[in-house]
Amino acid sequence: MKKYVFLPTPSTLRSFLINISLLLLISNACLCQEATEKDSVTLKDFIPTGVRLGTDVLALIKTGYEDRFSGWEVNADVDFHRYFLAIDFGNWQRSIPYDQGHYSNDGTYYRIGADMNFLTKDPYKNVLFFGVRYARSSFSEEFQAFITDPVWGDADATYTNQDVTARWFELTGGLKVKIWKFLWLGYTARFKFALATSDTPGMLPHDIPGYGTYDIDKVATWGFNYQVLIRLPLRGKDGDAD
Amino acid sequence: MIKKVAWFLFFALLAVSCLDEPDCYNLNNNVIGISFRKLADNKADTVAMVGVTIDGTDSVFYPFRLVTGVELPLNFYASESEISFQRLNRDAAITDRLLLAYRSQIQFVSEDCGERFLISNLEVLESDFDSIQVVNASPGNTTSTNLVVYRCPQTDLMRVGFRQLNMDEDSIGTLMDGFVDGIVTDFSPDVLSPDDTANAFLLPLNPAATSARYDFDFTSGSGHVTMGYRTVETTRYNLCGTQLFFADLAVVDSDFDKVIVVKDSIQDPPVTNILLQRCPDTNLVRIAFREVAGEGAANVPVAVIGITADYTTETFYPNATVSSVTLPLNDQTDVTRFSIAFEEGVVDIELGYARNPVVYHDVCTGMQINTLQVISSGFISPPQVLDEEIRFPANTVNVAIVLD
Repeated sequence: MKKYVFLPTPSTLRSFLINISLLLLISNACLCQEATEKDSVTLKDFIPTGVRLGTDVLALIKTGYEDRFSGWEVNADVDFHRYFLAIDFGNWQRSIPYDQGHYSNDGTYYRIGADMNFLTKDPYKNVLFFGVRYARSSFSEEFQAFITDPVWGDADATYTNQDVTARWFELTGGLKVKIWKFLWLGYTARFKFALATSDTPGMLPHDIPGYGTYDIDKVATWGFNYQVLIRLPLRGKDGDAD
Repeated sequence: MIKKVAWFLFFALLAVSCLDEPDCYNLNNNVIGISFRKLADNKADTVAMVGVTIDGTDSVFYPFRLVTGVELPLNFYASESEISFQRLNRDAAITDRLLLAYRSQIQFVSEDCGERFLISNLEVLESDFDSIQVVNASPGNTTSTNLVVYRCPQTDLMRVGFRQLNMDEDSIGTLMDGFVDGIVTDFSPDVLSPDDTANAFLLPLNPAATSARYDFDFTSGSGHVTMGYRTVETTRYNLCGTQLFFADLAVVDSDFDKVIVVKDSIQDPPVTNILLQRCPDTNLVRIAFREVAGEGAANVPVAVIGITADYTTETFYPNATVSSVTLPLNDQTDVTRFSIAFEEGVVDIELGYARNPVVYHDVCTGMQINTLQVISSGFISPPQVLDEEIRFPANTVNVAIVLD
């Protein structure tokens, strides 16, 4: 009898990894919940204990080694008991030359939202969080293209989108881990959806700063950030373990 | 510390796995699907397309094709496209114009794929069609229907079929091609179906009268039929307005062997309304040439200069190579002598038979011929009678001539 070996395609491998990560996140959250004791919460608990400021390492690395990308992103959050107010601000530019044209864009974006921590009893104040974001981007792009078509002929044209605005929402999840003293590392996985842009009559956006590649056939996309953060305590020794 | 770094690396791998490579195949969505339907029943309408042209390109799409739908590329450099559909209608080419407006947006896809154009907001600005509907204003990458063109019913086209009647009880007969040089009517100077061969023709009725005469000019011979009918003016489909409908078709006059009305009202798509029928030939004997005797022997090709009969001056099969011949017996006498001219000389064969008057299909009078026998023959081996009865169609061999 013939045996068939099914090798995972990139898409199935991707789905597998995503499922595993979600499983880990959820199981981790559940275990933490079991360990959580039902304590009473006072108003004092909602006074912020610290502010984290950080930057997206991936954006900096890509800026360093990719000629076609330049960008940065800063992140900040402040805690209110187990909830965090999170704000991100960033900028990116792409410049993509290819055989028959050149694409470039430049824009800034911000995200604002809230996270909920599921590691409330962690002595190091590590954070496992899920949250939501509202995001907006403002950008311009230019596309110079030499187009060939067997029916409609050739054309050499430049298309531009000026001052386009886009907004979308994100479901976020991730970890922020205390590494040493004030130094923290973190990642954020982002499920971006409900994208809407201002009217772009001649050209559909290709790349929206903060959102990524715009595909009209896809209703959502994924994103990741890897952050290096510094946590500045606001209440002195607030119970953090070193 | 190690645990934390491990977690971090795991999700770094996860991020890399999510990088997406675009597929460059079939990126543009500028191809629209147009389907043709009949308003009467919403079913597919077959259109005899001469060609479709779109302004901005010299390409001709669907040249000389029968189609129920077309897929056409829109000009993505423009925001409007004028499409001309040239099609055949009643032997004449007519052009329907369609002006479409849409939004065309370019998008940079990737370094490997380049750009693509996306068409949306498709709308009809002008149209010569009876009715047109936008069912999907955003063409996709795969074949889909974006526009549906509806056609009002043609109420005046009568379908006329040709049939060969046989020596049996089947009153319909078998399909028969009519080799037509042209058909003329008593209400139009136009010659219909010039130099056409078909087993059925679509003929227009005269909306201004209650009868119409059709004269058929065949490659060999001619015939005519006059049809009577009743007209009713009514609105069946609001989009089509008031139309004239024809009913109660009946044969007024004809010189064809037999004419029967099988459907006395006009339908679209047309169904056969009348059958022009030809009576069977009751006197055709089939003679085969063979090298050996016996019923199962094979026919062999023979070169003949011509075959004559003792009752006519006509020469059958002049300068032909044949393995069998079908020849008319003289149904006015009991004997027919055929003279078959070969290159080597002329050989006679004399056939005798019995005749009985018979009427097929009520109108086809003739002689039923049977008890066929070879009375005399100039062939060395006596010809064999394999079937004593004359049949139509003459599918069986009556007489086998064994060539020495």
